[in-house]
Amino acid sequence: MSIIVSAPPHIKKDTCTKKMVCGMIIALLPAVAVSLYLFGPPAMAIILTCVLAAVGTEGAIQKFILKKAIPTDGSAIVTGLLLALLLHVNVPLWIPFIGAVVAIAIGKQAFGGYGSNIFNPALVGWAVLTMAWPSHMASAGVARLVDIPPFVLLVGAAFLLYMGYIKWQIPASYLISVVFLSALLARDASYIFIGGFILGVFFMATDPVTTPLTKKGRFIFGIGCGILTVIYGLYGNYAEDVCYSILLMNSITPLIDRFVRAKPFVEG
Amino acid sequence: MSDRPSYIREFMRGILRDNPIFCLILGLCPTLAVTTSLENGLGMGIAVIFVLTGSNLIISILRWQIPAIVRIPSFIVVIATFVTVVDMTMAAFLPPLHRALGIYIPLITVNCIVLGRAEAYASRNPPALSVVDGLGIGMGFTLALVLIGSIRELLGTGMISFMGSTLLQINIEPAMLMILPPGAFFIIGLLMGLSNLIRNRKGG
Repeated sequence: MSIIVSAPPHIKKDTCTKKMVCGMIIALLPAVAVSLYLFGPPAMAIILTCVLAAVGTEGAIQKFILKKAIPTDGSAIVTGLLLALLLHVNVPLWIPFIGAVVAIAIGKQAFGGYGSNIFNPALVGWAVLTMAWPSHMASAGVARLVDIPPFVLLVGAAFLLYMGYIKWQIPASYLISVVFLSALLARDASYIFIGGFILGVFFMATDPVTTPLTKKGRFIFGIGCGILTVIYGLYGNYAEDVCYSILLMNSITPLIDRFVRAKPFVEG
Repeated sequence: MSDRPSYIREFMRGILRDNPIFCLILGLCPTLAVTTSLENGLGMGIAVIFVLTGSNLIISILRWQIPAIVRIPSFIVVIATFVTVVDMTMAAFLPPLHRALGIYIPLITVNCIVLGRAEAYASRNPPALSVVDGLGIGMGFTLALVLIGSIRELLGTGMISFMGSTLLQINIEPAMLMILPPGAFFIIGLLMGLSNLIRNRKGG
């Protein structure tokens, strides 16, 4: 038997950023494929614009402003895909372009790149677009790319959970608190079976960078998201509720991490 | 200290090295609140130039008379006097601008740029230099406000108007975000980042 003596962190799993990002992309592929099948060329154009603009912005910032080569982790692709899925099918193509540039430049790189961002970059891009051009972002009666049969997204979510790339605490507490609160307030909660909600709960509220590090913290995060979603739901539509509640909880994640610490192994 | 280039240097320092918005990061409240258009930004900037220069002059003249222990209240009295002058003048001659700037005119009294210059500069330097400092810092503030206001107005409404005439018009779909408060944060943040980038390139 061999004993390894080394300084922390003691990493035993071979999970790394690149693998997690690959996992996210694989998990999103079914949704992207079904979306392309249902909505055709416009969806293709939006997805391509988002992904290319996101990757291009990241590369341009690293080359011209940071002036150093940073090994690419592909997280810009995930940001682009998530943003594309949140958009309506009929948006003009400059909307996804600006959204992706803002998501990467302001949502991510301005904070110091992947791992340092406070807010989910895709949601930052979405929020800026929603506030800047509400007419394009809230077209009533026009489908969003994410409006696909929900089980397609659930397949991806199940894959992520199985691989351990996302933790179950946030989706579980988020869903339970939404169902419980809706029942308490006698509100309609059927939107939990809609693609946009599932995308938010499993793919955006679980982003490891912008959510608490501890189990207890993740429960607080999920419950907070659920409460905010239901409260916003009294006034807005479900699509905005999910995104804004996740963004707001992102902003207090450092606070949660500060007050909910993992128990030390040795009490001092 | 009294040769002429020094005055020019003091003036330029307020615009570049000690720019109140981008370098000292002072007086952000009016900057965020009133820069929805070029006109509002310019109006606010000119009001601040007047108050800052006037209060710097008076405080510098009185710097030996004001006891250290009551200096802050004394500074505020001087500043408030000039603010009242601006407020009443603007209400009389430029009522639309006065309405647009609203509470932010009286609030110049507690603007940290004005108090900051009184405390850090005017109370330690002779009157002529203090006036130049007030003009320079005020000009730096005004230029920053005009820049932010122009960008926000251009992106938020698709054009820049001044005194009823359109100066510049671009064919874009106006981004409502830019004339809302978050737009001010975005523009100030980006400009601040840009100015840091330029200074780092120069310094490094």
